Amino acid sequence: MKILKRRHPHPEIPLVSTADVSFLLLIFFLSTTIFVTQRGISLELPGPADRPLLLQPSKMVQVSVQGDQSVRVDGEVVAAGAVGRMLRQRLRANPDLVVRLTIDSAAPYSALVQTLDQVKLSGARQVSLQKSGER
Amino acid sequence: MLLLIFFLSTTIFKPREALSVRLPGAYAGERFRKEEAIRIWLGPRGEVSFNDATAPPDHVGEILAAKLAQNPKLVIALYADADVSYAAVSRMLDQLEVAHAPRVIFAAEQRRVP
Repeated sequence: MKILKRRHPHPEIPLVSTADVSFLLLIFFLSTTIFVTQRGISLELPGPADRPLLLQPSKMVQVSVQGDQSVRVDGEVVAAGAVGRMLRQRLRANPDLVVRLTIDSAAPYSALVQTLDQVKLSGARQVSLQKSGER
Repeated sequence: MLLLIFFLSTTIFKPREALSVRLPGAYAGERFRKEEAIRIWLGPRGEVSFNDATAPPDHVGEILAAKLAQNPKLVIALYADADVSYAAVSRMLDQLEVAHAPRVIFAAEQRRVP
């Protein structure tokens, strides 16, 4: 007489749904992850020992931003996006040119950033930013 | 599974800031590490905040001078709202001069050159 052994089923934990959930979470993180990078326009400030410099007008270019956000380069009205190109032309003739930036108190902060952005794009290395109350 | 563990362990939630500002855009922005900067927020109505605490605008120079005395290599990162007047920014720059800050970074959103 043959005695049949009863085979006990091996206990198992079904992991198929776990893999599905993990995969969905992975797709969520892959699609929503952003890497935050801090960026800004850098400006070195004069130290306490630095003295004000007297500059000749020929070594300086005046960039002024009015309250209505219009930009003038040496008195000439220029489109905001063309300031960089104009400064680049001036710098080709005089690489040591100093950009004197004057901004109207009523102008928004974005005008300062955009103008400084254009100055940086032009390659100018020396910038003089007008202080409040200074003429 | 390894990737999931990676994301779960590295995801951080941005801490709440005292001021919410809309930064202007710029093409020539440079990267900087926030650990090397003292971050100052300037709100649209001229209110000033250091990270998560507001500060009186007239005392910013003193607070910055104290922080710079601890670490002179720190730079000042200014997160000002795009619509705030230049007069308020100029007063902030005056405070930076009082604190003898070596460098200021005008924080901006990076724009791609067309």
